[in-house]
Amino acid sequence: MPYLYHIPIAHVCTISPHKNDSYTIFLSIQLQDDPDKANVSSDYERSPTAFCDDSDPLQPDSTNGSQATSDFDPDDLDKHEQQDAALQAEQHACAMALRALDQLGSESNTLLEADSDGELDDTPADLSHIENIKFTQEFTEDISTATFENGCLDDDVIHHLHNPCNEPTIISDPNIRLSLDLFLAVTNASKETYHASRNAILLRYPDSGILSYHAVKRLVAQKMGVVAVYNDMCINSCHAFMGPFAQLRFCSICGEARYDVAQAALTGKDIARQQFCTILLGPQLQALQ
Amino acid sequence: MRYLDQKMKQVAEMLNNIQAEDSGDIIYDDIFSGSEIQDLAEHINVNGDDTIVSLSLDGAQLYQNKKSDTWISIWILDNLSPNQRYQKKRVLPGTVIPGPNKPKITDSFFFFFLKAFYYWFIYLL
Repeated sequence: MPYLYHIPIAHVCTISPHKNDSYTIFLSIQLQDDPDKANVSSDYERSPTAFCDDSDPLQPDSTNGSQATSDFDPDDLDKHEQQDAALQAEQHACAMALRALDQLGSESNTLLEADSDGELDDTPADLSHIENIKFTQEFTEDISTATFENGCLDDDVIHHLHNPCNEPTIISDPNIRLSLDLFLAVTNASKETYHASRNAILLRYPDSGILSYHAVKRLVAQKMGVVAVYNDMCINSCHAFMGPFAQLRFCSICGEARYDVAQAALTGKDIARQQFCTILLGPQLQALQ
Repeated sequence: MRYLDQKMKQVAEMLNNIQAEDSGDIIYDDIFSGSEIQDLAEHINVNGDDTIVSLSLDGAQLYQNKKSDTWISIWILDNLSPNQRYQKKRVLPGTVIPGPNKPKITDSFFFFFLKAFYYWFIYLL
């Protein structure tokens, strides 16, 4: 049984070391999770040095840069904005410093490769001190502790996964059949094509109960069980807000906000600025049977 | 769908005969001929009833004169023979990551469906 999830874990482990940008990730998370460092301006100089090599040539420059930005904060900015600016400056400084570290040589890369193989069998609690590996470990640990209850799947999806359709779907209602035929016929065209065709049919046969676009789409999803799930991501495509990043409100790489400020002011709800779409594999494979 | 079963047996036979003098050349014609998947298959005891999928991710520019890169991942069902599995109607959609920038931490985008995948395993077991 443990080997069933060996495949995703091995996959995650093997592709990670090739992503050089990943070096910049962890540092930022640690800083964001630590409110003291984000609040107090005197800590700016310290935080990059805490994580970086002393021999790093770019580090003094980047530290100065963060100081300059924090000094620039005028009094009319409210506390929240100050924090944001500080956070961004800090992240920029750290990113610069770590990028310089990246260029130090191939030694770290070979070390990384060796570690990724060795630590595959380690217990999840034993987190690596290499950011890249630790990140992957956090991902794998989160995945291996997954249950239906702590996941972010809708109840409908879970219900359908539990109760897959075991017999061929029979559509006897001619109106529904007409709607489905039309929907499948224009599946390569735009939504407007469906609307226009539906309106044309309704004009001639007003009594035909042809379904609206959204209704027929929902019907197909219900019959097939194949659904798209949307999750938040950074507006600059840096990373998704999943796993170790799930609780963040700002991107840990570019510092952009996760939620739309204008929408929050209007509705009081957190509405993501950008989302990505995942079509789950499980229901698709079930539908193949 | 019987392709996986046949291919695994064929490769196993080929590897068994590797010591024989008249075995001929070993033909590498599919991913199941590779050592990675053979090692894994031995490890987890793959048989013909299992489902094997590959994940493929690439960026595509949607408009010619506009920065519009979108990253799309697809699932390829390896149980089908190579002349079937890459057909448009048999390729399963995975993730659509809107651009225009390329994803920096790709794992974080894959995380969700790996997790959903795991739920599915838990249920099946």
